[in-house]
Formats: sequence, structure tokens, C-alpha cells
Amino acid sequence: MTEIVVAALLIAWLIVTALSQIPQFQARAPWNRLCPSWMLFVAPLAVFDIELETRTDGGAWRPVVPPHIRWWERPWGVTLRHRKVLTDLTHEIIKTRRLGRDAALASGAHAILLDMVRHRHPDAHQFRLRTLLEPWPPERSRVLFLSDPIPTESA
Amino acid sequence: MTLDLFMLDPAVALDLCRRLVAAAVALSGLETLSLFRALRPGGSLARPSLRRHLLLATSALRFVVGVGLATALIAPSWHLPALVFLLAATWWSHASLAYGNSGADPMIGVVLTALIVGELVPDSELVQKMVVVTIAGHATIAYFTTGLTKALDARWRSGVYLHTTANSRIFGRSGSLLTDPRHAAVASWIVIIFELIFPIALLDPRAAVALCVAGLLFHLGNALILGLKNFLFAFAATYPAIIATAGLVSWWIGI
Repeated sequence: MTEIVVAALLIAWLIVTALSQIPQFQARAPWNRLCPSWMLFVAPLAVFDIELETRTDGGAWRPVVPPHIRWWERPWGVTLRHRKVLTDLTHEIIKTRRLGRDAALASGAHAILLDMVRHRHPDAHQFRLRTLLEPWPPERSRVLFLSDPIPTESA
Repeated sequence: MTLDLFMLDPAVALDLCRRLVAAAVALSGLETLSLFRALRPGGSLARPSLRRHLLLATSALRFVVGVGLATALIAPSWHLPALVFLLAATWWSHASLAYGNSGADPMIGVVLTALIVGELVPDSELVQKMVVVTIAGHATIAYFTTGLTKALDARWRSGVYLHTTANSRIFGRSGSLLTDPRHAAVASWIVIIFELIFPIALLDPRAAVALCVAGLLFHLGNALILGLKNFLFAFAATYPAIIATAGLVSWWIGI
């Protein structure tokens, strides 16, 4: 009896996973871990190559340079991981911005970016996320997000 | 060529799946360990001190247990707790890192979950076969969905998507083989067709072996050209189950 029940559960799991591939039926967390959606590599191209830039008050934009990668980090794709993190953070900012600018500013992604900018450029006044690829549709701006002025630590 | 050459016993397939998925987890653990500078304050994955240390300790354990299972150093009586640990640790690490995770992690979770179910009812031949079919089914759904999504996207069909991503900075502009848009268009169609026809693998063991070899080359190419290493072991872990399922299906339909 037990084996029939287990076999039936396994079949049900497969059916639910197959259904989860249809956007309307996609499983929500935490079930999406068991029934993942496999629409890989179809994200908007504009969010693939992101530059995080910062400027001092009235100064020119300059990229936030990631830390130098050590030789022992190279085989594990740390550079790819850093860039993918920036892509994911940009995704989250764009997604939360649909709920309003306040939601984007309150997001975890914004907090991480702000922390990163403050650590690497303590004199930064503002930061932005800019795509290096052609935006789609073409009339869209390359600047995907522009932060508010960064309050100083003492403020 | 005789069909028996391509048949794989479900029990042998499950043993191979377990070893390969354990290798995938060990590799993932090493990758997370290599991120320890990024986890420090100001890093792109900065985490509070306690969580950072827990993440690193869990990753080190994932590596040790993963290597133990992959090399069969862990006794069979310890397979169930080892698999449960690998699943829990992989999901927790995935959730804790939150950003920059690999798209291959869900497949690792699926294979580990199915193997745990198999370990819970070890003496049932029916359950062992169903676990093999479940892993194969998940892999087939993954390939077919990805292929269909690409086939429906005009940017993929024209080769623009692959050309742009292969030459983007995120993938290290390492797609030197794909600098020509015409080559990218041909490569796009090869990928789309491979992924769309993958379900055929479940019908015949010879087709299963051929498509799994093609899959290995595909993921090896992605690892070398685009740096997507995790997919290689995560999806290879499903291949023994696919070959075994094809054997079961061909037996059921009487080929």
C-alpha cells in the first residue's frame, strides 16, 4: 500500500511541475523549489550587462569597480557571480519600482547597493544602474535606476 | 545494434544519479566558499557576521558530504541523512545568498528530493522505478520548456539573443565562437531543436544515450564558453535516470 501511495505522489509531483511551466499556474514559494519553472535565458537583454555608477555632488559618473579577483577565485566563476548579482539586484529594483518609487527605495536590493556604494566610495552623492546593452524597446533609457541623493552617515 | 547495450538497471541508475548530484553539491559548496570576500561588509553579497560564518561552515560541510557521497566513502546506511543534509543545506544556502544564484540549483533540489523518497522505501522495486521516471520526467520538462520558450521568442529564433548574451560582459565576452551573428543564429537553432526533441530520449534507450551525449557536450560548451559550470553536473545527474527510463518505456511498449 505504501509503495502505491508513494508512486502516486511522485506522479502527482511530475504533473504539478509540468503545469508549473504555464505562467498562470506557476508555483509560489516555497513550492517553486519542488516545482521549478524552467524558462531560462529569456530575461530582457537590457538587464544582462549592468554598470553600477556613482558620482560626487556635481561630479562626473564613474563606475563602482568590483574588488580585484584573486587567482584562487577565478576557477569558481566569482567574476560571473558578481555580475549576476548586479543583474539580479537590478531585476529586483525594476520589479519593485512598478509598485512605486518608494517601494524600490525600501527594497533589499536598494539597501545592498547603497551599502556597496558607501563602502567603496564614501564620498558618493548618488548612484545609478545603467545597461551597457541596447535597451528594448530602443527608445527606452539606458539608465535603469537613478538613486536619491545619498544621505551622509552623520545625517 | 543490440538494445541491451543501452539498457540501464534502475538501481544502478539511482546510484549514478546520487554520485553525480553529490558532485554537483560539492562543486556548489566550493563555489560558495570562494565567495567569502563578497560576503564581507561592502561586498556584493554582504551578510551579517553570524549568517556569513554559518554560510561558509555549511558550504564546507556540503563539500565534504558531497565528496563522501560521490566517492561512496559514506556507507549506504548513512545515505538518507546525507541526502537530507545536502538538500536542506543547498536550499538554505540558495535562500541565504538570495542574489546571483545558479539556475541549476532547482534541478539539484529535484534530484535530491526524488532520491530521498527512494531511500525512504528502499525495498520497493516500484518506488525505485518511479523515482527514476520522476527524475527523468523533470529533466525532460526542463529541456522541453526551455526549448519551447526560446522557439516562441523572435530574438532567439533570429540568433540576436544568443549573440548578445555570448558577447555580453556578464559572460566575460568569452563567446569568441559566436562573434558572427550568422553563427549565433545557427547555434540558436541547434540549441532550440536539441531541447525540443529531448522528450524522444524517453522512448528509446539508443535515442536516450545519443541525446544525453549531446546534452553533455551542450553543457560542457556552456561551461567553457559562458562559464555556466553548475548546469553540467546538475543535469548530468539526471542522465542515468533518463537512460533507465527509456529502457523501462521500451520494455513497457514492447520494443
